Amino acid sequence: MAIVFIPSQLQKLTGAAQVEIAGNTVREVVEQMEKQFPGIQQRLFEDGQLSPLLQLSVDHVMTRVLSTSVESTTEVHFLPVIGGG
Amino acid sequence: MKTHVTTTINGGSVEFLCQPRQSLLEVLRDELSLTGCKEGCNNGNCGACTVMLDGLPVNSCLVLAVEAEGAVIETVEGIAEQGHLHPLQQCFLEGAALQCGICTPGFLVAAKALLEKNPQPSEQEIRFGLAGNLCRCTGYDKIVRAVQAAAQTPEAQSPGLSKRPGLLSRTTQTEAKSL
Amino acid sequence: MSTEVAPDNTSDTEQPATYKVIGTRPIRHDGADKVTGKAVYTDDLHLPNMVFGAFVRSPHAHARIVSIDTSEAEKMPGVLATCTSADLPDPWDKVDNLGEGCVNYAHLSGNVLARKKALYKGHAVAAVAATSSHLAQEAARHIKVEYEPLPATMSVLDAMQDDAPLLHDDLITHTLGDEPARPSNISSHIQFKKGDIDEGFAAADVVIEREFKTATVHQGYIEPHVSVALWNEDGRLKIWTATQGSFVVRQQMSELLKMPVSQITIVPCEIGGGFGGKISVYEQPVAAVLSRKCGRPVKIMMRRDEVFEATGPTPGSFMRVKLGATKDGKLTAGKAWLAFDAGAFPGGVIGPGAMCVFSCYDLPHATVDGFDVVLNKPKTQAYRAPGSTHVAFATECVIDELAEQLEIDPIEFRLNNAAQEGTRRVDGPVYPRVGLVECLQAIQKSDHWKSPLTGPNRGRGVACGFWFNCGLKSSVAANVNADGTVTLVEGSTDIGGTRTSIAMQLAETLGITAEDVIPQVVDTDSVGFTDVTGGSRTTFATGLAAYEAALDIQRQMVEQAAQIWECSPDDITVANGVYQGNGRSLSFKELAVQADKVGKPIVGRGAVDPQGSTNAFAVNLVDVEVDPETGKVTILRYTACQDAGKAIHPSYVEGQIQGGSVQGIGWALNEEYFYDDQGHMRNASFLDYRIPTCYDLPMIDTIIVEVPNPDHPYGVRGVGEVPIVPPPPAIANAIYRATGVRFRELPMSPPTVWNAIKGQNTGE
Repeated sequence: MAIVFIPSQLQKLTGAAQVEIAGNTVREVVEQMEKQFPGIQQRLFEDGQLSPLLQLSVDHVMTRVLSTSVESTTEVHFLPVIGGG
Repeated sequence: MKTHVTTTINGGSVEFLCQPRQSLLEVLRDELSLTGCKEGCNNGNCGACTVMLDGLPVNSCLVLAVEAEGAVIETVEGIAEQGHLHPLQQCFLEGAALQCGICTPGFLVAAKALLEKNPQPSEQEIRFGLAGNLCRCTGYDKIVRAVQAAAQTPEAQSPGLSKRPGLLSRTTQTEAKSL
Repeated sequence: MSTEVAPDNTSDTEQPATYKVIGTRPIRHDGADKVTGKAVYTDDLHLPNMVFGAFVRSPHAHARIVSIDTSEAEKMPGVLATCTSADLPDPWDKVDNLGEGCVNYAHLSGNVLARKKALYKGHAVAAVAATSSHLAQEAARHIKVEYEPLPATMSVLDAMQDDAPLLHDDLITHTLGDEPARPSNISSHIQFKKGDIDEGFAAADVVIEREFKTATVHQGYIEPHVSVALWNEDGRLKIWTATQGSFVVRQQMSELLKMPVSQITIVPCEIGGGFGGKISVYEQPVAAVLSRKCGRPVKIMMRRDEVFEATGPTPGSFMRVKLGATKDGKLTAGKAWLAFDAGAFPGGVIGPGAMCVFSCYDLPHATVDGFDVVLNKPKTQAYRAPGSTHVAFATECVIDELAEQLEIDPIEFRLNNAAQEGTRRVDGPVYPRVGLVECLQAIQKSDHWKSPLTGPNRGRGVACGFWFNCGLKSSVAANVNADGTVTLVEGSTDIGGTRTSIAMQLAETLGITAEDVIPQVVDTDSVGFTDVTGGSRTTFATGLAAYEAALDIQRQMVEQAAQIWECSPDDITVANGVYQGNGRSLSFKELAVQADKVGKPIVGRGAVDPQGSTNAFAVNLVDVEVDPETGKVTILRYTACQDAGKAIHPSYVEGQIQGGSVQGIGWALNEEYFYDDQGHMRNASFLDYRIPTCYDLPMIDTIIVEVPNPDHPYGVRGVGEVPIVPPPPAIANAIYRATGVRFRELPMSPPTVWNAIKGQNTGE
């Protein structure tokens, strides 16, 4: 279970800014989310992986690791990738 | 068609052949392997190629190599002697006055020229004297402080003792000093 | 005094740790080489039989390439090979994450050598190799390219119009939601929403909305892009280059040339500055192809005008920012509309720009819209905290204006609203422990803030800045030598003293001196994968790898000690580099000497991929004087405060702060790409693109605040990028107090300032 913060441009699909989704990892959460809101996964994933244009924030930790485990209070955010100088 | 040029570089007599279109920078780097002077802009704006030519700092990218006939040239390679760093070099190291280091040779040559002309420059005189050298990493603060520190060394203050011995060793406990 | 480490700012739960090496200022390991001219930068290499490459570049800002004829050049004596995009494999539309942002290889290949169209003046179209650099330049002039010029679009707002000339016929705006049917120059639209801005603005007593523009600026490293490539007869490719990330160059070369990474070796030479601009490849694939064609090593070094016209810059921008606050000084809502120019290919820095626009403040309600827009300028790249400097200029100027209208001290107003642990950012995540409040308080306590500024035409300004900093992958290997020293092999190219800051962490962990560590930056065949030196990550992440390697060494040393002392490893204790057990005691060095004689070699490894950002905040305070006769702004006094987490080598932390601040000062006051109506850059030299000289500046005072990063054993946060963020708004706010004019366009160069003052005086 995790609290997924839906990117504003995808909220049309979910009707809500935050949704609670079952799953033990980020990947499971996204797959479960796809069952509830068909079409959302293809906006976030490419070839089964996180879109290269995106990164995750799992609670406050920026990551691209889909196997990151989540608990009922974990927040999952989808953010643009960051380049550094 | 190449021209024969005779010069004195870092105290030694050096002869070379060059094309009339070659800059002194190009000959120093490519023909004589003195790669300490750097090319940053090749049009006299950045100072990375600064060398001493007959006692004056010049942008070697703006000097034609053929113009060096008979000249006395000093490059960054000639600043330290026999394993002894010049006070400026030592103060640059102790004061962390370099980051990427590409501009450092030009700054050292320009600063040495400045101190030879004006052994006790004010901060503004240092800033004016080094304004032809660009550094993109340091914000100049530590460069200016290093030149100030070098001017305060006993070696800089007593002519004839221009080299400082035994300074190549590093020490861990270079205590945080209020520069 | 230039540094004041604020010890009372360490975290509440931890006592300040005492270290033997960390926090001291040893001389950098590569220092003697760099002050004597011995350090080897790429252009210092002269390989046997080496030849030289030169580019042919588009004279047009936008043109179809009708034909390229290299035959005349190829007939010239001394010319050995030519190269066009036809010599590069057909790229495919693959987007890859380079650790530091992502790249589309079709775009990258098209940027390296133009395919059907030249998309900016200076876009590389062909290249030639010859026996001397002069000959190569001459030969380049004999490559005939026929162009069909096309209308160019040069400003971000123009490029967004429906009738703007299209750069890419197939560019569909990427959004997470519905994508438009028609192509445009808008390559992506990013949006964040938090709360309900209507409700937020309704609750405000004061609402201010302003528009801002910033010019295209360049990273301005002093060393031009330069590479030497050797494509061997066995099919192996070796490239010596000036890069922030040798492994990322290898990855790009592998994709662009369609060859396995194992066939490519990248040797990182000493690098003369990068600041984000030496991550993408430019001349490397071209040098490689030329070397393949002529069978000799090929060196390509860009001229300075090529560096300005065809590499780097970071976007120009148009921004609209609206903020509301209550009478008692609480921000209620924010709205930002941001359009950044990406240059000729998508993938600018709008993502982090959009994420950073309100990142310093606790805003209950906000929306952010960000647009990445292609136009006929060189493809933009990261530049130190990419995107954050732009948006800080907008937000921090509006914040200053709000504080003024509310008659609240500008630092108090910021403290009232500062982001801190638990603050939810507008883009969603909640901050862990961060140090903005501590930085603001340190500025409040500074001698600078407490000293009144007097005199005509003078003003004082303050501003905040934020940058994420990142982790990413780093590898090191550490070999214990027979004399008790440790050779540290690492993959992070050292741009500003990181060999030493990494070695110091290894030394601290092992209980030896920094001088007992011999750090080496090695090629891609000689160390594990390591991401770029960028993202303020090197001292943090590669330092973490060095820490792990040290613990690995320590474990092995304990085993060796147990063998020597004939006891169980469990009976051995280690403290401050002293190993004790079975009634005996040896220092690290003594034990290493003995271990060398009896046991197996001791080799430590460290491989890390720390997740997360380390969240750096900075606050700047500046006094300026404006000359009403010329509009020239003089910086009288500058104080930059930053949370470093833990300053490993304080001198180099100060150096990062000072250098970043001065780049920000240049961005604020002078630096800009001037384009004429043909889309030609008219100031592509260091004479006319004026970066600050030392005569333009005072000393830059630094205050290092240390709020340790809980995710690093020594608390390191990373320091390199955030210093560039606050200077433009801090200076704009200071100029306002000196002149009464609010500047909302960068740079605030003398003509701009003079015109505005004159306009104010004549009521225009």
